[in-house]
Amino acid sequence: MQDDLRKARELIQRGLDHYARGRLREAAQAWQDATVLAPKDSRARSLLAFARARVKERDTRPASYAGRDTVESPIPGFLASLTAVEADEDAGHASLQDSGEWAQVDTRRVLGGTGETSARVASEQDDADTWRELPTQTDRLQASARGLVDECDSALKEGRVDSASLAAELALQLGEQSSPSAVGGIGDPTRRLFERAFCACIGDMKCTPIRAIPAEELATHGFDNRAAFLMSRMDGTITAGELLDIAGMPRFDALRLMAALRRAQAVDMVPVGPI
Amino acid sequence: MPEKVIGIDLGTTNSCVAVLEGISATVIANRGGYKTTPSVVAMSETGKRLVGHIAKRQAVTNAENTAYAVKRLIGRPWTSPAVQAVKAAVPYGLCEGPHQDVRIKMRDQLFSPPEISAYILQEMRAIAEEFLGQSVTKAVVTVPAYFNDGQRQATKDAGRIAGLDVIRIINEPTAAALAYGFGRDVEGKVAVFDLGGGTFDVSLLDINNGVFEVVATAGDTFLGGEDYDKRLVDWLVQGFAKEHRVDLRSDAMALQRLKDAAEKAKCDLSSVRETEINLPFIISTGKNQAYHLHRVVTRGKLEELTLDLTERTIQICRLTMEDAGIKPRDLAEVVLVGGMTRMPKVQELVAEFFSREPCKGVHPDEVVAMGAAIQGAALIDAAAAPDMLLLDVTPHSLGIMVAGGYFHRLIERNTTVPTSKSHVFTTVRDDQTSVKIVVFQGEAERAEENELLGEFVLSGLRKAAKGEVEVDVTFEISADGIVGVSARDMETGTEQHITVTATSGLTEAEIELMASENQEFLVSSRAEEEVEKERQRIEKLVHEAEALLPKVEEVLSGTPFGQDSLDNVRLILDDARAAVERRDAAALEQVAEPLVRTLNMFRGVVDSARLRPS
Repeated sequence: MQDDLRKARELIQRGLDHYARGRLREAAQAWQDATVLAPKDSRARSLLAFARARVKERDTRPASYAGRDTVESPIPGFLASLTAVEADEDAGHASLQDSGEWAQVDTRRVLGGTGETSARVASEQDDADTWRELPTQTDRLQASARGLVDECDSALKEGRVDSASLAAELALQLGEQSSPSAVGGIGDPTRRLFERAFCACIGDMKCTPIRAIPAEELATHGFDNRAAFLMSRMDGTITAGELLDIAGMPRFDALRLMAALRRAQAVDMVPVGPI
Repeated sequence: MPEKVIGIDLGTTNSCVAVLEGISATVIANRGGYKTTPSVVAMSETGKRLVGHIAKRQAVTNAENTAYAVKRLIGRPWTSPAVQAVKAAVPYGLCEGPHQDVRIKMRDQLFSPPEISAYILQEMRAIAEEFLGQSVTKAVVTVPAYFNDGQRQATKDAGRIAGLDVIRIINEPTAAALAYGFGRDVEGKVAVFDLGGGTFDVSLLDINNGVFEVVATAGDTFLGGEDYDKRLVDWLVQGFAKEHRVDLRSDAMALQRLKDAAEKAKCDLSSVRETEINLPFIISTGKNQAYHLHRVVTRGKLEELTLDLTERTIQICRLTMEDAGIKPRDLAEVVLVGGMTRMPKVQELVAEFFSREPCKGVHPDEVVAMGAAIQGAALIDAAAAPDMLLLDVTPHSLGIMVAGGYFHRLIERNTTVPTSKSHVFTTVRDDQTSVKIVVFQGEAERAEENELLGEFVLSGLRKAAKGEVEVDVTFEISADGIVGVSARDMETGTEQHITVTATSGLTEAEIELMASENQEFLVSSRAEEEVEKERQRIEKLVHEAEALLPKVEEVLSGTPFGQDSLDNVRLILDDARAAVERRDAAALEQVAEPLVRTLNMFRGVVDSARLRPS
């Protein structure tokens, strides 16, 4: 009995490692073996149900699908485009267009570009029509930050949770990379908005996050060792809500990092109980 | 369904819960599938109480708000050397309590050691209740054999705070012996070698006619598995520093991962000869590059790194045996207790020292809880353990201070209770009209080196030459361990009496308050969980409604009642958003019904628009 439980735990871990390396069938097999040894282990059952659903999903995918969605972050290029003195109007767009779902963030709104969405930004900035016409870089950065906040709010309302979360991330990075006087601090309402965006992106806090890429690859996706630490806590038992409690960093930072991992598809969420 | 009594091994580092099912004790696994749960309690940044594995997994990164090894503090006064030693060793804050007891500081809140222990007991209770599918209110809890009355009482108080009726406190070595069925098929002297996560104890039991007498006990309260882990961590840190010139100890997250991995490797090495420690991206270089830690560790290396620790346990055994005048050949059995005794090197040295193979039939980290469960079942149902005699013994001697400051024992330690003993004393001065009866507990010859339990004065004695007036002093211990002391002037019959109840450092009112606060905390935690669940549900509905709104606006724009309906809907959505934002239970409840109605209406409008021919 004791040995069975121990072996089941090892199989669950082995399955998690397989899953992180994209070996879905091997993961499913390990979790199935775990359920045989520990039939009452709800964790093993949930993981197995999740893996089976993913296998089915993969098997029914069109042949043209080229594997895992890109996890390349457009953020550095995008921010560079915002902070460059001689920025090209299309720079933000270009860096986003190549990266799948990231492109859902409406950069025209953020950059104060053309079209319907930019009208609101323009009206908030008196008579400025595009960021090119703003008098200083500080004004431009402030407008961009406001645009990102608006985009976050709108995307959240429209249910585009990844976009909302990305807009929040971009706004935060913009603030961090600019001088404090340029963008100013985040007020409580904005912080709460961003928190909601990150939470929505993460999903149900009762779900169990599991690694979907090996921790070794995190650096190539622009993550730091804090992300590796967070992923090292994902043992197939701890829920997303619990993970925030043990993240070793302020809750807001943990939410932000978890949302980034979700957007980068570095982490998947396993629902509690059979799917 | 008859009520079950659970047995809880409330350990310094890990705790374990068991229950008697049929004729055998079953150890209950927690949610993670582990049969032991770390005795760790933490307060998260948001004020959430974390207990067990989850608390342990953040113990380094939230060190100041993570209480562990609280058993070293329970029932001890602030001034005790043990408390001061703990204070110097732990990262969490300790301060003096209102009754010269100890308080633990986490997130600006003060907790007594029984409170923290209560949270662990509560977790064990919850594990048992989930397994049994019924409520559990009674428990037998184990304590080290050297625990005094105050520490035992504090453990009982912890049970009360956790909502448990601790029907018996038993000694850990006794519980281990019970789990092996000793007392039925084995009588005589048994050595219990207990190397746990944080402490080492060796106890020599004499088992006769169902009485488990602790003949000798000794140990080191700062020697256990964590010290073994630390050696491995040090080795890994040094190796990494040599290779990369980076000190992993400077990064709390890296250190937490190292500790977790070292403990796992140590456990693995009990069954395999070598294992890998692989910690990808343990630390950043600061240049968008990652350092990975990858090391192979062999059983031999672990044994080499920790040999002095293992040898220290054997040295303590040697001294204890010598003090008790017992030779290895006098022993009937040797029992291994504690997860660390799975280590082959420990087993090897124990077998070598005691000149016999130790008992291995029961898992060493479960054996104490199993014994407690067996005792618990026997206490409520004698048929559950028909051959077991249930005799408690006093853990320490009881007596009074006599002339010269010496300690006169009336009841020797390990006397079975209930018991009563009297002794006649005489006055020591001429014309002495009163005597002061000062009651102590302990084994030291000098009274003041023992623990003071209470004092009272018997006055009105006849004036006479010293030695002429006789006073009869009687000690009584009830089955519940309550000590009564009376002194009677044998000439006049005048009598004085006190009842000594062990105290944990907490008053009755404090215990009651803590118990009710704890109950309230549990209720409000559950309520908060419900609110959060509802908040998430409403937020999801709001998102869905917001996503459908543009389409609905488009469809209804041409209708006469459209604008009014949409205005109303927008108000509902505003209210729902506000309720979600405020996390207000009443507001969430209020918006739920109209929101669902709105969403259904939206779905209907969108569906009908879709079906309408273009």
